Amino acid sequence: MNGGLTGMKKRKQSMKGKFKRKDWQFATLTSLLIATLVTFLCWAILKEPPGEDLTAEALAPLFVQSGVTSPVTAILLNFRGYDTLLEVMVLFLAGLGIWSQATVDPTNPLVFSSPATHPTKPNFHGPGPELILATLVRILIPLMVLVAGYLTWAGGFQAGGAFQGGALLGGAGILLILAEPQRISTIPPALIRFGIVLGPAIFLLVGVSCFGYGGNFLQYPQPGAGSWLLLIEFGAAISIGITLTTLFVGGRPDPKRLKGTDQP
Amino acid sequence: MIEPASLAPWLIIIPLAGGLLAFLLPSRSVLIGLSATVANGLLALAITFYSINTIPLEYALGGWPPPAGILLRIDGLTLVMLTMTAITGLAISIYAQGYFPARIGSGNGVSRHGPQQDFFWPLWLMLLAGLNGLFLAGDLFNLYVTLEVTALAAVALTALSGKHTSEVAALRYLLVSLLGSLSYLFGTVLLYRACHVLHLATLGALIVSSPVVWSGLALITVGLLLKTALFPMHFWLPPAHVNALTPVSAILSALVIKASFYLIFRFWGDVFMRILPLGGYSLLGGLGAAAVLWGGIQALRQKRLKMLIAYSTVAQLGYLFIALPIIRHDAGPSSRFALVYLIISHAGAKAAMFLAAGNVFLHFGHDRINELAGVKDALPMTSFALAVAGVSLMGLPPSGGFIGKWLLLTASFASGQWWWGIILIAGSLLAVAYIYRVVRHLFTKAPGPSSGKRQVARTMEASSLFLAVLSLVMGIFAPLVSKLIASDAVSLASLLAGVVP
Repeated sequence: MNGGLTGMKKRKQSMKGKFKRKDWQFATLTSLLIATLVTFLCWAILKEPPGEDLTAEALAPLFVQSGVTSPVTAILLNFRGYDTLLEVMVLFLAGLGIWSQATVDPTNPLVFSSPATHPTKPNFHGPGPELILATLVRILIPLMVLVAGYLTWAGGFQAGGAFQGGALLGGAGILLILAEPQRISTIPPALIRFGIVLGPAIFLLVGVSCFGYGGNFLQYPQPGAGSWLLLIEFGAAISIGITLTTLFVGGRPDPKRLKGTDQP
Repeated sequence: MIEPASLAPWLIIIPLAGGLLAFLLPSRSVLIGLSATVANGLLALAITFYSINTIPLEYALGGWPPPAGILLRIDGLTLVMLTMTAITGLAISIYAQGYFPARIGSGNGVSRHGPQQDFFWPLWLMLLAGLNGLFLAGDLFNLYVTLEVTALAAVALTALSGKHTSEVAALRYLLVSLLGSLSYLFGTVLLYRACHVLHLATLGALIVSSPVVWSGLALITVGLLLKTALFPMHFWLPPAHVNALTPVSAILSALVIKASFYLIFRFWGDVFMRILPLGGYSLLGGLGAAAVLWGGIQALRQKRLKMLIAYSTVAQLGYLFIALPIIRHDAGPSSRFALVYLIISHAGAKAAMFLAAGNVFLHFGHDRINELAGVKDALPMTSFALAVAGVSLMGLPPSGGFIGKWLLLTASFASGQWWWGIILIAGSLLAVAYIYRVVRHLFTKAPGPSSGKRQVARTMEASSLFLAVLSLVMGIFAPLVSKLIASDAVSLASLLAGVVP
């Protein structure tokens, strides 16, 4: 038995050595290829100056009509709003794809399977390390939500916008889950689904309602395009935040596990 | 009279809205999914019907003309691709409506197959939105976004079966697809640096040869070739297509692969044709020829029906690439028309074959080619569908495959490129051989009593037969398709002359 095991081990080791040599050759070959490619690209790019930028000149007078003063937001949400609509859908798809693959225990989303490894529920009223955590979370979360709201709003005239605000909301969500995993089980899955869909749905609905004003798809009515953009930005920020948090959790809540556990 | 261009954005809005709703209301996902695909089908037919005499059409999203905004562009090729996607997609949806309940009802039940059904519909609708958006896009960067939507949805669908093999295949597919997308994006950046426009038609007119432009076009092409699984970059395709759920296999093989090929055709066949080197066409054609032979030989060696069909996809993709050098040297629109015919007839035939193979698997619990005896008695429509789709893949008259191959053969000899013609004939002979391997067993009597496990719904057999028959009688649509493709010739001529639209 023992001899067999060592034999297997030896074979494994020798195979490992073989693979290693092969890997090494493969790595050298790939690096050489990539180095050639990069050298050629550098040469090509350095050889000629960038082309004449006529687009920027053509764009300059249009910014006034965009409804926002930040050029980034004007391009992102107005001129090329269709691209951004699809990008928001890409994020939705990422969440959808992960939910389609994996389930997590809704009573403790951080522990993937066995309920035996649940950490003890933090005691938020007694002294101890939990108190520090709880106080920090209580101070930080409202601040993060506030700053996320500000960032989203500020996108209209300076750096900021839905993706920045949403990223901050996502951070707040992750912090909340790390601090109080059990609380998440009280959120009904239907509500999470609603939160994920909200932003993309608002974006799509605003786009469609432009038909009602006689415009093309996503042609926001003038004047007042700014307020439509703000609506889209806030919806998108909320959904981006929730989607990023669900990506961190890494799966949909499994209803079977919810029934099976003896949570209060 | 409806303004046909104003219908175009609904081809994106309807599947997107359906996808969001189907995710929000999982218990209604089947109903939402079917209604959205039906609406999408009607819409595609309506747009084709209304705009056939007025193409090419453009639609400014957000009301912004380029260079600020993004255009949707409808020309003959777009209409053919949209209609192909809508009809094939509808038939696959009707199949899926019967497929998931059949699996839920059998043995290991609701817990595994229920969620698969709930997530199939939103993912498939998002994929449909991505495909429609890709065919409609007239903007280099917007194409990247639609490629991303398509690829992510396709990867999630591939992994949906939950088997370990399909998860591994899906992860490999994800990595290949991401590499392809990023390579495309890099190429886009380089082209934008050189020309500062994203609008495709303007870009095609402005572009001049330079090292940066070559690098950009090379990166874009390689990225798309990876996604199209051209030999020798086909390694990821058979495991991904074979291990997926049946409706997903059909969607991937009939539609998703065509999306990235459509872009190669768009770039090499019109937008950048003016400046692309002749050697590049020969290289693509040569790889295509290798794919035809390699895919055909591999298909002959397979033991499982689904594997055989997947390698047949590798081979059939080769034909599409062989068509590119022929188009480059052929002045008339007939070789272009031949390529489009090969694309659409392969979509119908390949989807039909995968659906039929799914029926066989569902009924017998296996798809070993040597044990297919008795299928005829148990699943008469399915075995007929397999045979009919096989006829189209072989390229026998009157199938769509025949028209495509025949025109291509004529054009290859007429333009003095007889060697492509020889590959076409060799590939067809290989196809005859591997289809015969299947059909031979299909129509023999089972040695013992039928060992069927599950009932296969009528709709599932019918949708497979519908697609097979459609690809067989595709010849009757030839006047319509040739009119659509011929109408692209005018804008193509101005593009080749370098006129800024």
